[in-house]
Formats: sequence, structure tokens, C-alpha cells
Amino acid sequence: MTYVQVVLNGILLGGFYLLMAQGLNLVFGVMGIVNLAHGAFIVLGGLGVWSLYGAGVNPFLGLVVVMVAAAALGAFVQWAVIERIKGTAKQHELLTLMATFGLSYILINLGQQYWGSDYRTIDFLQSAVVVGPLRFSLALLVGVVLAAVITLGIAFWLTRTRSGTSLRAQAQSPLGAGACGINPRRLRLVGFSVGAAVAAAAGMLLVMTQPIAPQAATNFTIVAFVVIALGGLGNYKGAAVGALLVGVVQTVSGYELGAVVQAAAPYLMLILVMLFKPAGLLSRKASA
Amino acid sequence: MTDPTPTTDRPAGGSLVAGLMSRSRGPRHTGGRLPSTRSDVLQIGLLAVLVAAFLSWGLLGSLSQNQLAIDVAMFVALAYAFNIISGFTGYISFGQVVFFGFGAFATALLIIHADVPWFLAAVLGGIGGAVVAVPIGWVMLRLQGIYFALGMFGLAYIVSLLLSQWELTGGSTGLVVPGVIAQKPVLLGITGVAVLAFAVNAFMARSPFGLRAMAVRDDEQVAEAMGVATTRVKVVTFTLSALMPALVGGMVAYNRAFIDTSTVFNPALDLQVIVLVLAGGIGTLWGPLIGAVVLTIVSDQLASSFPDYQLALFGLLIVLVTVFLPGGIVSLANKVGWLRREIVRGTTDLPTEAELEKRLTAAHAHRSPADTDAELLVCRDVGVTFGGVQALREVDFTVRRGQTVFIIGANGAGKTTLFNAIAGVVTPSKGSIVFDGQPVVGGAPAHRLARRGLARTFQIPRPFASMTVWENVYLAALGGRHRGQAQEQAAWVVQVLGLEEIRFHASDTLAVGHRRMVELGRALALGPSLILLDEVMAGMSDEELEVVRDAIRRMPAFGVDAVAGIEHVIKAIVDLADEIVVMDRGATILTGAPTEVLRHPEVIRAYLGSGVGLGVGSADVPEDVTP
Repeated sequence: MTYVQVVLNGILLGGFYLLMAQGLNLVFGVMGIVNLAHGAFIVLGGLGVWSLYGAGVNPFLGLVVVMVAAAALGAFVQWAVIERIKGTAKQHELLTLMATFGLSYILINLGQQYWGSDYRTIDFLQSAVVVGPLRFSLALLVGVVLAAVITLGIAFWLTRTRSGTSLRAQAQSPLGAGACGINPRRLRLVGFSVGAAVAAAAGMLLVMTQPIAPQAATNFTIVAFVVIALGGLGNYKGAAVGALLVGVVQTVSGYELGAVVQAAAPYLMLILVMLFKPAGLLSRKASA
Repeated sequence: MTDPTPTTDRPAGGSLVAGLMSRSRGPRHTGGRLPSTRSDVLQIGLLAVLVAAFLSWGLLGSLSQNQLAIDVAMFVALAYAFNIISGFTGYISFGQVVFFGFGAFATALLIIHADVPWFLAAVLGGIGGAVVAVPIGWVMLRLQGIYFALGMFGLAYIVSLLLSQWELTGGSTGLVVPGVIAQKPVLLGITGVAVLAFAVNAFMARSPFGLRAMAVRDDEQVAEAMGVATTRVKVVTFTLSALMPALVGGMVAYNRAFIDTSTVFNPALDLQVIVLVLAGGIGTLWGPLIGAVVLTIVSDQLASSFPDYQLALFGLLIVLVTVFLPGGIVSLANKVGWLRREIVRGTTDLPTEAELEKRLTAAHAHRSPADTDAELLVCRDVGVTFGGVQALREVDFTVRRGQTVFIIGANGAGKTTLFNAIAGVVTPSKGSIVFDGQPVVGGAPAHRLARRGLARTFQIPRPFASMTVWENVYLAALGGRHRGQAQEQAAWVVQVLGLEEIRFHASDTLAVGHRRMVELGRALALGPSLILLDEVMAGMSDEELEVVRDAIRRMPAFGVDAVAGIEHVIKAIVDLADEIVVMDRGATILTGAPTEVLRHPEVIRAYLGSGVGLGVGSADVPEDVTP
């Protein structure tokens, strides 16, 4: 029975990871860049909720606050940095990679100055839900429900609304989208700030279930990247598969083989999957 | 020879790094033998003066000055090491620190357990690092772009995690390395490594090997097709770029007297190196040096003034550089004409065409077609499917030595797919392709096929963007030739195709016709026995058409046994072709002499649709059909 419990926990964790990866996927989908500062947005969002909680603010209200703040910060970053990077497509890819890498260190460092390097968590919804012989943390369950709501919200936005459709059009062909009268600058701004807001939301859920600190940001960037890389970059359905897989593999390997393997698992998965399925698990053709 | 007209200095396109490279485009660069010796002496002299000045500053000063000098030398070495794999070869790595850590632990363990003198231990650690880099590179370099960057990051993380669990490496508490803290010898050692790293970069910047690495960076698939063994080039450059960090890591371990996994596998070290290289100018010879010296001293000041914000300041620096100075400090110097890439690899005066022709004909004499009419390429019943789409259904296609064959057919008929199958880029789902007596294996490294004598052009020209026209052609000519011979070959190609005037132009600034000409030039420079031309004449002026037609006529004299082309410009091929093959919806439907084929009703139908009143069967039809 414990094994079922471990796997189920892994699935719940996967739901989390999906949310963590959504923002990254969105930004990649819109701009074709991997935002290496994504993990920093997650961690700072979580720590923001932690501070607000300390000041007596309900975490759900805190969630709204940090999402708005992260959206604003994301918009600023897009406007002040990313949008100003020039060059051809490939140059641009390298430079944005570097710029977001630099950005992540700015955010991590500032976060460490403000919150210190201690790992912090909030004591909220800590009771357990017992279903027959299985026990689940309430925080984890609420987190997964929230993750599902946000994921579905994004899906709805992308497929059913005008701005979401424009966003997807821009992702597929910036030139064509421009020809249809879509303003790519504004769209990129929206994409990046929504990505940042979703990252911050993931941070709130994270801080309820595990201790986080600024220096863990890179780790979350990697996990989020592994999730979307497993599913194929920019592929929304693939990301869900990737998230569940990473969650389950991580909890099971942690249970079977210990904490070190658990920590190394996402990295190993990244390298192995990229070697054998470079276009993601859902890709039909395994290119060499 | 007149100077080519100066072109603008706008950044080039191309691969991740290519465009960031500063390099010459102007008339300054027409000159010099290969590579300009005066500039060599100048640069070596400059380097010697710099090293002497640096050592006298570092060795003679206070203890803290010694330490700062060690840091400067360390970052110079690391920056140049990073520049080899990421600047020249174009594979950005976020995890070169794994070799730094390897060297550090190997050296520490040798000193502790085997009592090896520190210098020897560091050298052994460095060699060990280079040795482990071979299998690591062989596996990891299959990843591309961001995947490679993050894959290396992950690898460093995993190795660090594992070593922190291992008792031999001191676990999470670390190792104390015995020995007196000797800064001056260590400074000499690390400076030596830095000079070595510079030398490797200088070699990369001007040797045929470096040219191959840059070809990998600009376009790996084309590099393969031009006979470059890309995997080998990548692994060798990766190994070189692992050697230096491992050497430095060992020396630093001895210098610091204490190491643990979190300090020697610190990803911030990689971050810092990336900043230095970017700020100086990635992919350039002097950029990493300038970046490392300037920024290490600046950061030393920053660290003592703002100890808590060092990482943030570095992050900010990266952001500023990417936004405001994407070419690095070197690009500033380039604007006033300093520090440009001094490698053109071409002489100012080309030997006359007649002379070259004489020499080359002599060189190719042994290959003259003794067995004309033998089958060179045989495709039988070839089919290719992509997912559910059948791109090729049934293709039978034979090219004999001495023949010039053109394939015509409507868009989507599968012509380029057929070429891709012949070149081994796509794997047929059925049928067989035999080139020169040996089967073509789909997915096998394309450079082997290129070395066996199969050259191709790409339908959309893909010149190596960061190279000049001459370098594009010369690179292809290098496949399996000595330098001198390759130069003659390239010089001949450049003249035959009328590219002399523009041979020192950056290939990404060319007009379409010239791009196609470069594409053709590269294929020709390979000296193939079969050359596949994928619509080389599309978009060319009548004048350029004549040049290409003339080149095709002269090919047999230079070892090209047969030509197979895809062409829409039918008027240009009627008198060139020995045979025309018509393809329609994934199958070859007709083969024969040009006049015969072009009058065939089936061809007219396939080309012009089956409409009535198109003069089907009448004698004066399609001489001029250009869809």
C-alpha cells in the first residue's frame, strides 16, 4: 500500500510541476526563448507569500498579490531587457538565454539579501486527508486543485479568447501574425508577464508544501525545463505528461534509492531523454 | 587585383555565436599571405610583452596582489577554454566547471594519497580531465543549443552531488590539501596554462581545423555535407576546452589548500566565465583576454566594496552586455579597425586560371574516366515516407559516369527528397541506393559520403554565415587535401565561377545569385565524382546562368564524373543534359534525351496540367517552359 501512496504522491507532485512548467512553456511558446530566470520568479513568489503570511495575510490573498507583482516585474523585464536585445533569430536565442541567466542571478542575490538563505515554508493547510489506507497532505491536494484550475485557465485563454489565439498565432509565425494586424510587442509583453505571474503562483503552492530558499531557484528552472522538454518545448499537452512523469520518477526514486538520487533524477532524466528523444516524448519521429 | 568594395559592419546572421563574432568585412582584409606573417610576429610580440608585464606586476607585489594575479590568470585560462567549445564551435556550455572540479579533486587526491609534487599532480589531473572529456563530449555533444547548455549544467550538478556523498573525496566536509601556500609558483603555473589556452585559441582562429569548428558552429548539417567530420571536430574541441579548466582546477586546489564540492563545482564560476567571454567578445581571439583581465579586476573591487551583491552585479553586467554590447568590448575596438580577425586564408593574387587548370588537370589525370558509361549512382524502386505522407513512391534513377542528368517535375514531385535520400539525409522506406558500388546508408554521417565523392548543393543556399566567400570554398576544398592543393582547388573554383571580386565578402551579405554561386562553388571545391545540384540556377540572371552552364560543361576536366541536377529553368539545361528525368508525384515517369522528353505529352501534362488547348503533342512546345 505504501507503494501506491508513493506513486499517488508522485502524481500530485506532477500536478505541481505542471504548474511550475506552464509559465516557462508559455514564454517559450510565444517567444521561442527559454527563460532561465523562471525559477527565480517561482521562489520569489513563494517567499513573497511567506512574508505576507507572516504579516497575517491569508495565503490565497497573498497568491493574488504576488501574481500581480510578478506580472508587473515580468512586464518590466520584458520591456527593459528582453525586448531590447537585437540580432538575428539565433543570435537572439543566445543573448536572451544569457540575459535571463544573468537576471536569475540578480533576483536570487536580491532575494537572499532580503529573505536570507534559510529554507522557509508556511504552516498552512497542514492537516492530512485520509482516504481509506491512503493519506494525503491537504496542502498538496489544494495545490493540485489550484494547479489544475490555473492550467485549465491558461488553456481556455489560449484556445478560446482573442488574445490567446493571437498569442498562438504569434508563436507559430511572427511574420504572419504581424500581417494579420497583431501587435507582436504587446503580445510578447503579455506573454512574459503572464508567464511570470503563473511562476509566482507555483511558488505560493510550493511554499505550502516544502521549504524553499532563493538559491533553490535554479533547481526549479531545471525541473520546469525538464518537464517541458520531456513533452516537447511549447507543447502544452506534452508538458502534462512530462510533469506527471517527473513527479512520479522523483518520488519513487527518492523512496527506493534515497535523497541523492531524488535530487539528481530530473537532471538525469533531462540528459537521457534529450539523448534518445530529442523532440520530446510525444514526438512521433525520433530524429538522430 | 582590385580591392573588393567595402561592405557594412552590421552583425552577421548564422548560428548562435556566429553573428556575435567580430571579424573583418572591409577592404583591409584583402591582403596578406596565409596568414599574414607580419601580424603573427606582432601578435606574439604583444602577447610576450603583456605576459611579462603581468608577471612582473603579479610576482613582485604584495601577497594580496599575488592572489589577485592568480585570479586574473585563472579567469583568462577559463575564458579561453570556454571560448574554444562555445565561441569557435558554437556549443554553449553551462557546465565546464565539472572539469575544473575534476582537476581539483584529482590533484588533491594525488597530493594527499600519493605524495605527488603539486605541479605534476595538477598536470596529471589536467590530462585526466581531458581523458574523461572524450566520452562525456561524445555523448553530450549530441545535444543541441539549450539542451547542451543545460545538459552540461545538469551533469556538473550530478557529479557534484555524487562526489559530496563519497568518502574518498571528503564527502560534504571537503579535503585539506597539504603543502605550504605558495602563491608565486602557482601564479607561474596558471599563467602558463593561460598562455597555452591563448595559443590554442590562436590556432583555432587561423587553422583549417578552426575553420572546420566554425563551420560546425555556422551550420552543422552543411559542414557534414562538405566533408567535415563534425563529431570528431566537436569532441576534439570539447576535450581541449576541458583540459585547461582541469589543469587550473588542480593548481587552484593546491593554492587554496582546502576544497569541497560546493566550491569547486560552483556554477557561479561558469557564470563568471561566461560573463567575461561575452563582455570581451565571444568567438574572438582577444576578447576573452580583455574581458577576463578587465572584469576580474573590476569584480575584485566590487567584491570588496559590495561583498553581498557580487552575484547580482555580475548578473546585471551580463544583462547590460547582452543589451548594449552584444559583440563585446572587442567589437568596439573593431569599429576603429583594431583586433579584427586576421584570417582570410587567401592570397591577394590568384594564379591565373589557365595555370591552375593545367596543374589541376595534371592532378586529376589519374581519375580520368577509364570506365565511362559505368553506373555511378543507381537508385532502384526507392520510396520515402514521412509520417503518413508518401513523398517518394517509386523512383528508379541511374547516373552513369560522364553523364549530365537533370530531373524536372512540378513542385512537390519529390525531387529534393530524392536528393536527400541519395545524400543519406533521409532514410528510404524501401528500395536501394548504390553510389560508386557501395550502398548509401540513411542516417550515416554525411561527411563519409562527401569524402567518397558525393557533393550536393542545398535548394535554399546555406553559406557559412560567419565566413567569407573564400573561406566557404576553401573549407570544402580542404576535404582530404593538403593545404596547398586545397588552395589551388579553391582558387580555381573561385575563378571559374567569377567570384574573385567578392571572395573576401562576408557570405551572409551576398545577393541571391551570388549565394547560389557560393553554394555551387563549395560543392565543386570538394572535387566530387558525382555532384548533385539542387536548383542552382533559380533566381540567377542570364549572365550568371552562362557562368554556371560553363562551369557544368568544364566539370569533367576536373574529376567530376557525373552531374545530376534538379532544375526548373528548362531553357538552360536542354543543351547541357545528356538525359532528362521527369518526376511526378513521387515517381520517375519518364527518362530520355532532352528533345524527346520535353515533347512527351505526359511531361506537358505534368508541367502544364491536363488542360485542353495547350498544344499537346505539337512540335514547338516546351523549349522555354519555366513554371
